[in-house]
Amino acid sequence: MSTGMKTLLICIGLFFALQFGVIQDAQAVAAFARQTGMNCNSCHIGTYNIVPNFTRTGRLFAMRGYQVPYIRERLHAEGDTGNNNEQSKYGGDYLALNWTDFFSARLISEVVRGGEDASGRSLDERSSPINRMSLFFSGAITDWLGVWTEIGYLGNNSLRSVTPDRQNEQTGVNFFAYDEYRINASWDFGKNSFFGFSMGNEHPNVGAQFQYPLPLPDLWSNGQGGVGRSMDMANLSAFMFYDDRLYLQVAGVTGADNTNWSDGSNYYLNVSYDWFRKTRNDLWLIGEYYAGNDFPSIMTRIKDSFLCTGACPPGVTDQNFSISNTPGEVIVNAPVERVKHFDSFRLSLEHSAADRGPHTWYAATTFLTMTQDFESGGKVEDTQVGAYLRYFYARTYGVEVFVRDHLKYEYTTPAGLKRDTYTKPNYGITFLWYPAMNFDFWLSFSPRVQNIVFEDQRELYNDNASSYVLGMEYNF
Amino acid sequence: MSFKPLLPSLALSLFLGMPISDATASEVDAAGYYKLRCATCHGVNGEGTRDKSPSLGPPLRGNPLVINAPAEVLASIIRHGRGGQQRVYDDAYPNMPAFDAGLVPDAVGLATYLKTVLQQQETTSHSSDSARWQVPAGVVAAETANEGEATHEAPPNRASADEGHSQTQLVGPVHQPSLHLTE
Repeated sequence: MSTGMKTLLICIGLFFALQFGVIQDAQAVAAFARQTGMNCNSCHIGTYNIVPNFTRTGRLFAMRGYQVPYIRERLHAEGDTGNNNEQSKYGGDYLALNWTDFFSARLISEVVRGGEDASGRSLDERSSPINRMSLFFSGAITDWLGVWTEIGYLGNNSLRSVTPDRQNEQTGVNFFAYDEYRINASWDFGKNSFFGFSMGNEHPNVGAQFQYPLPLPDLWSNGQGGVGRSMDMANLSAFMFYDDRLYLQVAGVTGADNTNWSDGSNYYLNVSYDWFRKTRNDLWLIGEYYAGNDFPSIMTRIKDSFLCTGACPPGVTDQNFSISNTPGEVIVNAPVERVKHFDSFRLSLEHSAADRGPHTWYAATTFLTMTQDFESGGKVEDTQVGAYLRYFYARTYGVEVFVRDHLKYEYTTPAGLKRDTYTKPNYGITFLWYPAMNFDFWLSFSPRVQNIVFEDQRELYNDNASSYVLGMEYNF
Repeated sequence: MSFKPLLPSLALSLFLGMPISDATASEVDAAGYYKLRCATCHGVNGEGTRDKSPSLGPPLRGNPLVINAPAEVLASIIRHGRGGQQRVYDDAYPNMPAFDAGLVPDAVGLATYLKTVLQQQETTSHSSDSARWQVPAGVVAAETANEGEATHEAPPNRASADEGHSQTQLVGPVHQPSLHLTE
């Protein structure tokens, strides 16, 4: 029996042992559940693999910056202040963050991973027992101020080099720590309306959590503090939710490669409309615009400064790129370019239906386009569409499917030569099992991972790949 | 030994020991626990939070279920919460948490408070929420059937599901006690 087969059998055994053993009595005890007293399903439609799709309640809870007055009252009740008349007061004698209620953690393990990459190489060695491990310290500080922090660890194989001839290799760095934060203040004004401000080190659309679901097209690669094309960014944001249905947000962003406002900046606009406005049946139409002059090229795999330092392509320095393990738009053998200006627009429709009888689902579709003008005089245009569905029966057994494709992905050289790309739809299916709302297993298949090549180099580089993953996530 | 010097003090002690309102000790505790555990989602005066975003809970004042269901049924809801398919309101409200004995020691007492004192609260204009919400037909009967065995007992203040909060009589201002935590 092969080692891989033994591992698989052990995992299956563990699977069933847990089903009939410990997990049946598991409780949702993540930070927000502890703080609000509400269970995870009040705000989420599954949290599998860091994709916490939201109900209306969860969406608004995030928009407001995780402030629910109930939290404060629980703190006072359990904080032994001895004077309950202080419940509505804040100040130096008020304990803002309580360790027990505000601390939580997440563990994601890819127990078995297989398939082959575009070069035909087996992916079996990429199993990642600790794929992601992070700590949270999040919640309300006062009834108008909240904080979100996550300090994490990404497992092996997260980094890839952009150094020529080594683009498919690991960097040699087998771990990557990251952190993220946002501070959010908001106040009521009128009926079902509030306004506020936030700051943080992520892409500003995390304020309303519109970066999810992740399998949909996302050329901004929203960061989360240390990964994606938005690493090391800082953003300042102002937002408003009006009459229980209209969300507006404007934000300034330092840029994708550093936190320096002086070498370029981006801005972000969001206009969203909530149609149904019921937590069991919600529909959002979301329009987002992101533009500026500080962003890496979408054509090339993003920095790996660990290797690039000594062997960078001409004109490339560490400051040109940010660390990412986010593929999807990278064109094989694409030239390195520096972005002079970019424009991007995204239009999404998201429908969440919670507990309609035994049925719960989250469906979304997205149209996304980006144009980048390069300092060299060239440019690239990318337009993508995608659709996504996550469905649960009795909140326990689920399936998730997605498909996305490029409608247009074309590079124009500085000389004016247009180079089209050859792409095919990318799709996947995942089976989900939630023994408890904060503990889940998934088995995902991506039958065809299609690399992107220039049409004129299609015969040289085009190849298919496939992958499967058996993983688990535990939020506690 | 003469007790005369002590009489004024004794009289004063007795006077101070007299209840200053007709609120019982259990009502005092129930009011405190209502403020602590319920008011954030259901409003300080039971008017609900439909006018807030996010909306967290329906009005309890004038709520036909609260008015009509036996206290034991309401106590069961307090104890177990209502999540997922158990939710009644097809509205913006999330799941209702469960409150065990550590969070609400006397669930029946709190339920009784909801059915009596809370229904008599004087409210301001924000009670409009309770006037327009609706409980689906048959919900009260279904709730009582699902939640307990006391369904055969006619509630003392029965009202039809569509008559809202007009069924109770105001009996004067309600004493608002300070919060007493026993946990």
